[in-house]
Amino acid sequence: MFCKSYCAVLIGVKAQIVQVEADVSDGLPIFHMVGYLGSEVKEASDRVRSAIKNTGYRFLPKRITVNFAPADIRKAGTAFDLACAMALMGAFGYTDTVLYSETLFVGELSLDGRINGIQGILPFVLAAKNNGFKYCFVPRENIGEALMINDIAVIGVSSLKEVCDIINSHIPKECISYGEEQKESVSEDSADMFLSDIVGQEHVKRAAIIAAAGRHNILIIGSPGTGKTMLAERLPFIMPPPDDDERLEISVISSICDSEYTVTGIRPFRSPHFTITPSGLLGGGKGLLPGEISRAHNGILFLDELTEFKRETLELLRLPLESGHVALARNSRIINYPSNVMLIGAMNPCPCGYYPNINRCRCSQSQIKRYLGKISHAFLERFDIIIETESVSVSNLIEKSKMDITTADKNRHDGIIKENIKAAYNIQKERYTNSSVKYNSDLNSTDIKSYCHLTSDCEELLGDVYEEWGLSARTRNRIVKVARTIADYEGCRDIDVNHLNEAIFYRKTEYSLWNKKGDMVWN
Amino acid sequence: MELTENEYWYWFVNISRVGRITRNRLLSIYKCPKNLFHADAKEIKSYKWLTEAQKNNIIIKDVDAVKKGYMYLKQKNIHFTHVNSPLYPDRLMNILDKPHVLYYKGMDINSTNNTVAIVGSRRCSEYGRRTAYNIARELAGCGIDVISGLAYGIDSAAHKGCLEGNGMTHAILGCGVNVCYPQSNIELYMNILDKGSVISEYHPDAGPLAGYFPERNRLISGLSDVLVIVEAGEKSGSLITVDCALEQGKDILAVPGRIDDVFSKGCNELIKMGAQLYSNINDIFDYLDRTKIQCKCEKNQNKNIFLATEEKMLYANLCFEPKHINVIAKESDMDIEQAIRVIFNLERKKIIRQTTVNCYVKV
Repeated sequence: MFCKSYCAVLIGVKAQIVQVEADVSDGLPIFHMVGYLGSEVKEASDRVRSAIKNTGYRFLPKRITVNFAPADIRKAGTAFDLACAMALMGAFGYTDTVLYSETLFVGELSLDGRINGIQGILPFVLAAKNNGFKYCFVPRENIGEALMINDIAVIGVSSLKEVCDIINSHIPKECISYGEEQKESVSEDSADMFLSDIVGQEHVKRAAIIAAAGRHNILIIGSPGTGKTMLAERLPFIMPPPDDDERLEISVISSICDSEYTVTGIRPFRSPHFTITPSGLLGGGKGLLPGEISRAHNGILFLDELTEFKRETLELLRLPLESGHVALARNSRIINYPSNVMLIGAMNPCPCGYYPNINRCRCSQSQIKRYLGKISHAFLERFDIIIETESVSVSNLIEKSKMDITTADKNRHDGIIKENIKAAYNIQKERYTNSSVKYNSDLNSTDIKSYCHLTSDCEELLGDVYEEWGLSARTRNRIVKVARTIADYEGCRDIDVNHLNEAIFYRKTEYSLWNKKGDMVWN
Repeated sequence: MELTENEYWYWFVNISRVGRITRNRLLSIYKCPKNLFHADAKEIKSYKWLTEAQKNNIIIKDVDAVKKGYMYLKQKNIHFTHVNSPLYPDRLMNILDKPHVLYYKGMDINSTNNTVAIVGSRRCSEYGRRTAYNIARELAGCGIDVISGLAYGIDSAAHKGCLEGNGMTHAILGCGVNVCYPQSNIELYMNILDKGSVISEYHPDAGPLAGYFPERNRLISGLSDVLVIVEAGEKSGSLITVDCALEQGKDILAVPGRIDDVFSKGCNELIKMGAQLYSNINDIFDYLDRTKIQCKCEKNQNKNIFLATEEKMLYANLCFEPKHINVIAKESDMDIEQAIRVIFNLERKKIIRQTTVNCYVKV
């Protein structure tokens, strides 16, 4: 007897449908599996045999061949167990195979016939939907995730027995769950981190808000203990929750990696340690899993102590940051992961951390230069906003703590900011309805011409600064993009000189720290 | 092939392993390098106070190499002078341990001008920097040369101030004149070549060795009539210059600072010990040849720049001490974004200036 069932194999963030063909014929009893299988898939034979036996069916002593087609894609992962078992059950004649052609089976079997959850269920369900399957069997553990996809009948199951029963009764309606329209299910008030927690640093907060409003990359420079990390950690909470498309993309990635963001409404916030390897950051390793930059997709990638990262590792980020995706090419396959992140960098201004406070900083000029030189200009240009924190005096802290802001106050204060950022998002959304751009930071040079009209005053100002600082064309565009966001945040239609002024200010630190000629400390 | 007087001196000061003290001893015997050059090898060999290496280096007289070396100076536009030359600065003739030769680039050193040395530490406050800059600018306006050491901080400010005032400024280096140390002062170095000179007693390509800097300090004080210390910490290298100046009998003025200011500790200490207190430019004039002071100290004409109301409000809150924009915004009762904007405009009008990142002062 011959029988065919369907499963899928994960390639990057997409799943490709795989046919599982089982042939049972007379001959010496043997269980043979072919089709470019990874070792997890080869091991499936033992699991399937035991699971079928322990479910109460007889595993017939026949010559059994199972083929996974297309045979030129390497099959890895444990998602094939269920499809393989079902193909065999069909071939043995235990199940009705009428619905097999429109059903996708995903799940890992344990020896007693139970079905265990797997990683990356979302891409499987998506593939089922996109390839016209009607039904999709998934492990019950994963059903919450699977229900993120609408318009496909998802059946959560916990044992092989259950699957056989459902299939044999032609999938009764009551077993089926459908994905619902996702609601704004974010518990917005649950956050206990507020931007107002940070004492002083008004200019940095403002810069961070602007950065969040246009999803601009921001570099925060400052002495230890001035609130760089604190600020970065609070940014996801003032950013509006991801929209449906973004949420799906976030969930797909976290589904593959089994990280905690599955089906939540808060943007991912990843802060890898500076010892991270290139493949940890960009993705790779066994199974070519997404790296930190892809895990932070549609969210925030926070690189604390930027100067401590290996230079090669940082430089690798340049391309993905610009293009919004990472292409990993290994072993004749190329996998694309999305990497549309808002990058936040934090670093000290000098080895001891206290520069430019010369009463405390004991670093020499060349030490400071060398330290700053760890960040290449090319990498620096990826940041739209560069801002330096102010060192906080103790008296300032005490004064602030006396003011005794209640959580409700903070909530209200942050609420206003959140509303404003959301309004800015909506303006951007409206403006870019018919283009591939989503946020101001995504604009390329041609987009800038069409969306960011500059008045002659602005052009003149920019021209002056351009000459004085010797701007690169890329930096110029970045300034204009930030000015666009400031205008959006303020609710203005056109960019005026004031917006541009502020945008230029956010670029200034680069020129006062990195491009300085002569005396670093003075002049 | 006969060597010129200059070439003899060039050979003399560049004998490997022979230092200034040995050279002095040799000079006391031979009076001038020419005699040493033509001295009998046996005679030199007989000196017990020379090491074997020194003796050998003196006896090897590679005329071609000397000619070539001297030519190199000419190619690089480096002037060369020795103690017996009329070009040698008069002021140095009377100092202890005077250098046998001087290399310099740029203008000749004019011994008739009044000269004032302005020195201080490399780490300095905005106050010190501004003071050094202003003193130098005013001196330049009165036709007085400013001498300093091209280091960071006070030295750079003094040179810059002098150049701003269109005066002549001399930088005494602790390395060869072809070497710009610190490297990042290269722009200043080039400007000084145009309007003054860089001077050194070391070979033009000599690197900046730690030992050279205390030595060159005696030249800074030696070449100047008056020494002004702007800011010096407790153990600042500028205090070496003060010691040299005292030995050479020069007048010393110190700019006072607050008593709890680490950058002014040395200066205040000097005043306590009897240095003159500097409070305005006339204090310096008291010690100079008044006949040569061209008093054209016109007051800075008030720049009439139109300021908007908010700009005036913010400008009123600025002072000569650096203030952070957050503080400025708070004091002017403005939102941070408004303050950023106004500051930016004022900076473009060049009436305020950023000192360190995000900190501003009045110009």
